[in-house]
Amino acid sequence: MNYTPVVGLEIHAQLATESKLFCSCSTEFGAPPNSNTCPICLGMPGVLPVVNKKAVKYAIMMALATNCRINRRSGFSRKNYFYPDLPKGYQITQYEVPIAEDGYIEIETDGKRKRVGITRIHLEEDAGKSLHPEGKAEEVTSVDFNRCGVPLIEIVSEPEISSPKEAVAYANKIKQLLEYLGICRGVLAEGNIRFDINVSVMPEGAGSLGVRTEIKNLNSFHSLAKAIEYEIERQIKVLDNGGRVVHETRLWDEKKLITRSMRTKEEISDYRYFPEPDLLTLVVTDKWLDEISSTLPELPDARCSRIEKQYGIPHYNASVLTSTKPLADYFEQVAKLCKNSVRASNWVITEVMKVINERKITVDEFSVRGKALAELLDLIDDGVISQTAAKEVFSAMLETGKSAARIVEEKGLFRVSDEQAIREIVDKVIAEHPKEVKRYQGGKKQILGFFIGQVMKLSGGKADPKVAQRILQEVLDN
Amino acid sequence: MQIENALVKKVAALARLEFSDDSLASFVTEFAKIISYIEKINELPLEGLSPLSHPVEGVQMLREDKVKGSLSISDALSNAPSKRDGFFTVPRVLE
Ligand SMILES: [Zn+2]
Repeated sequence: MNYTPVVGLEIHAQLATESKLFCSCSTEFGAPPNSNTCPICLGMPGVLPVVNKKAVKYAIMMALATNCRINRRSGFSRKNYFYPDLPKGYQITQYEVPIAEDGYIEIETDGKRKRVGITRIHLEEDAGKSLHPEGKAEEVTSVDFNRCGVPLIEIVSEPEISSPKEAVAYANKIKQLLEYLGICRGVLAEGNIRFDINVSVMPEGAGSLGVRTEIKNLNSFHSLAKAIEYEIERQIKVLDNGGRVVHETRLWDEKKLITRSMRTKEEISDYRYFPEPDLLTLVVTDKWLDEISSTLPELPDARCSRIEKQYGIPHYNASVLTSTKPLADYFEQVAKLCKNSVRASNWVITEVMKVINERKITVDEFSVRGKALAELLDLIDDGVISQTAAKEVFSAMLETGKSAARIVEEKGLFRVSDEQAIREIVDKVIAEHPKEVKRYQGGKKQILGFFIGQVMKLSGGKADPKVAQRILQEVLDN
Repeated sequence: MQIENALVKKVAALARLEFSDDSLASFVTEFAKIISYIEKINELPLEGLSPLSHPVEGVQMLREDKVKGSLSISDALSNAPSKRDGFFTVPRVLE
């Protein structure tokens, strides 16, 4: 039997505000435990939450970026459950009417574009952090409430994702949008973005969806893909063996790379939502909405097509360069300052990104700034140095921080287009390879490339390959 | 709405409350009374009216995103029955 996987994602993203959603405590990451708390976020009796305007603004920005309809009137509810990291015994979230609904984003996998619907985006507060220290003597769970009350948006997709690859493309696109908007720090390792998934498989030809399972709190693209992959295979196996899939929440075991059933009483969740009596209706006025949409930055898809056209670079290059905003900013800086923007795009994608990945740094931490790289690339286009020499200069720039021109001067890397100098090298190469000369003259013209390579090698990459080719042909053909 | 032992037990479990069988029986009676009182609302002709998003009219005020300081760690922990190294501690919760 063939099955079609059906996957939906709920993405929780921490909003990069200074203060929490309902109180004025700092949202700083990595502060000493319980140093950013107050009576409101500790859930003391008699306190009142007050909504952070910037958090609402950020939620609206994401809603606009994902083509959602903004609900001008939305509300907050209480979601009731007991857990040590939730001091109030309830989470304030948006339930009946969220801030935004009915949007979509476009994703691309294997060159194919696809639209994935967004069901809703809502605002809510994060919970604290429970730590379970290892070791038998530690029979306690420690709780840090610094994260408690940090603003989150939850972005709920339609169940329109049909493979682990699409799920990663979707999650990546959401992360990219959050970063472009500057509303989320986007560090998965710090838990800024977390994924919940629901997975089911539909037998081919069946008109309705299969029974789904849920897996919560995945925090990397890798575990997102692996968990979906595992769960699809598990469900198909169950169905093929005549069993049935149980609707449940399953845990992802990061070490064994499997999902397993939780089988606890908590499984039957009954959150008893009701309107939060301490908060009134959240209203978004026309004026505010206009203000926010008019200041929305250029988004990745728009920037990709603009960069492709404006600089005349291949689509692939444009999409890689716009994968993050700092990278796109860096490329545009180089491209504006140098003569050859196609060359600039290739250099940023290969040479610059190689160093960034190797050193595990960000584009902003990369020491060769846009202007310095543009100067180097112009030396190639002005015929001052060869492509090979440019790579050497680039390494030296990284090490010394000196300008390209200065390094070329110091190392004497000027390209040799002086005919006499190249002729001498050609003579030497021909004298050293009598066998190859015979083969060439016997008709094997394709070994001309070998001779050019030898000339380039002997000249230390400085010979102009075009001049070398012309002289070689001149000498060999006569 | 039918109020039974099982429902009261479920609500009690969700609220982490425990009752003796005697008080359970009295809760069943009291719950039934309260629910039937509230259910009177269902008798109102409400067709064509949109649901009230909040029982209180008015618009939520918003505050600027400013950090205004927090409690000291020792103040934050001062009411905690159990604490260690700056953390609140609770009986171990297994994930
Ligand atoms: Zn607080």
